[in-house]
Amino acid sequence: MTVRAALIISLLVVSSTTLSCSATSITVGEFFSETEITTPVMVHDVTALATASLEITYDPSVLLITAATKSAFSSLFANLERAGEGWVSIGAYQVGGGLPSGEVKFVELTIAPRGSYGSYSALDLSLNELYDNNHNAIAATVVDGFVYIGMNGDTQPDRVIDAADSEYIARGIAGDPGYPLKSGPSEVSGDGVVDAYDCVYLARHAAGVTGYEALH
Amino acid sequence: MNQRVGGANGRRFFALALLFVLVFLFLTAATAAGAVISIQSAELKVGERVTLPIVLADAAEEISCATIIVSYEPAILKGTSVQNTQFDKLVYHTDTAQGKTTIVLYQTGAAGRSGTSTLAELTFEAVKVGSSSLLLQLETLKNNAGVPVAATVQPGSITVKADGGSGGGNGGGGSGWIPTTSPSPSPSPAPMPSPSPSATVTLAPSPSLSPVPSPSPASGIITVRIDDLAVASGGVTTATIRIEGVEGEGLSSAQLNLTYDPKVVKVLSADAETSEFDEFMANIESGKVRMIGFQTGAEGLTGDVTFAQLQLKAVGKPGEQTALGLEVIDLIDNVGQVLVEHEEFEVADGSLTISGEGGRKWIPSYSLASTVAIVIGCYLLIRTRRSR
Repeated sequence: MTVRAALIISLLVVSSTTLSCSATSITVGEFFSETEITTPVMVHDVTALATASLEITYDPSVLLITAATKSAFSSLFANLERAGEGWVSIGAYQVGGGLPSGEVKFVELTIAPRGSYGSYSALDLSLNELYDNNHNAIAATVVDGFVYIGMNGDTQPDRVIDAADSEYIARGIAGDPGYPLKSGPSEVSGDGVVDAYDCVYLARHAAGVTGYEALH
Repeated sequence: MNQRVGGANGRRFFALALLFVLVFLFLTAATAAGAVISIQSAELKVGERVTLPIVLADAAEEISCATIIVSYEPAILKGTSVQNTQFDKLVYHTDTAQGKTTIVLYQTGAAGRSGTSTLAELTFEAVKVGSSSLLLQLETLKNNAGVPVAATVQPGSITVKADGGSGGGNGGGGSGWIPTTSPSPSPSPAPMPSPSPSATVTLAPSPSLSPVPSPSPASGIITVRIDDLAVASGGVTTATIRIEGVEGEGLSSAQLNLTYDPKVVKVLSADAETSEFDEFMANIESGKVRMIGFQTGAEGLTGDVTFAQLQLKAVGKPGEQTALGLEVIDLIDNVGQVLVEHEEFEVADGSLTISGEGGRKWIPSYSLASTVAIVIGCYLLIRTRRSR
């Protein structure tokens, strides 16, 4: 019995250590699309969330945020007045206690593409405030997103993924003028960074090498 | 019966332990024998060109791609082209104003390249008398599965002598480089005055000297210094390498080696942030640290310059001592004068002595989690013995 108790205590110690590693984050998503997108802005791993506000900025020549609705909060305020200039501001709060812990849908955005095929815009999140039910500030990691009007990997936008796209990434990495790196469609290997391995991956994908079918 | 089972368990335990040791040794050996990326050195005259290969050697696994930035003094060298890779594809861009060439190499087929490969051949044109380091910055080196591969980089250098006259031969290059005379006239056809009374470089006979201002050599003697240090066994201390008494145009780059006894001291780090140079790189080996610092802006460094600060850990026993030896490979002032050739410096070596009994803790301290684990472990041990 005592041995069991000791084991339970040790398990509790381990689990508490593990729990302390979790961190709150906010995401908006990454999209390859030529048509309208509907996407949630999510708050992950959060406890008793009560208020939140953030700004989203983007390239207005590429996209337009046309709606911000359907929040998990009881009250949502979306200011889309400057959407045509490339930014929107959104705030929300919860009445009568914090939201359930875990994943919280802060808001659902409707994004309309405006640019031509191959145009790219970041979706930059700027967090103004995030508080729990006791008005304690919640530290959170912000993960920006993007919209690419085109196919993943089609960096030299011609609706065909081939060696030219691989070379485009290489020229972008080398710093050749006229080859701005598009972090979205250029990061095809799925390791989170745009580097020479994306050239390898895309070239092998275009050549039909087994194991490189999926572009991440 | 129980004894036989116990013997079998013992043999199994021994076999597992042996396997563990072998795997550990194999991994250690694999880590130690890392890939090396190097560029050679050369010596040429103003207006000449040289082609230097960048070589990847000892790649134990298949390499699929690499991105390398080669930096050099744009006032002294001009990067003209990059060609002849053994990889499937090579893309590069040269920023002549910054003195920087970025090279991207990758495989397009399923196989990577292992062993030794020529990554690229760079052609430089000498535009002005002076010396320039050829620094290699490895941005990316990945294996066939996209996993980063560690590699040591070995920089080179190019010394440019005055055009014409005796000397100025192609000294330092080894076998792999190909000096070629530039087919086009040098960008600065007017011969430049020799910056020094060096025996190997002479003024080209010309009645009209270039209007380039004459470099003013540093009037004082520069001292490259590392202090004597004492630290308890197991302790960590900071060793500062200074280049003192720099006058005149100031220093644009310096390349030094530090040697020491690795049984007495271990170099933990040589962070770039601690150097006064705009860019600083260090390659820490067992018993030697190779360091290079250079300015990227127009200003040279004057006065007493902090070249590097290294974190040293005393790994020997109390009473042991090691010399901290400094080897000056290159000191170049802001007008390209190679001060090493003029012996305009002194070296003040240092030492590190391991003192007393310090560093040994008779009362160990542990974190809360460790303490809980130890207590539980002890309890379980006692409990197990009692139950027998």
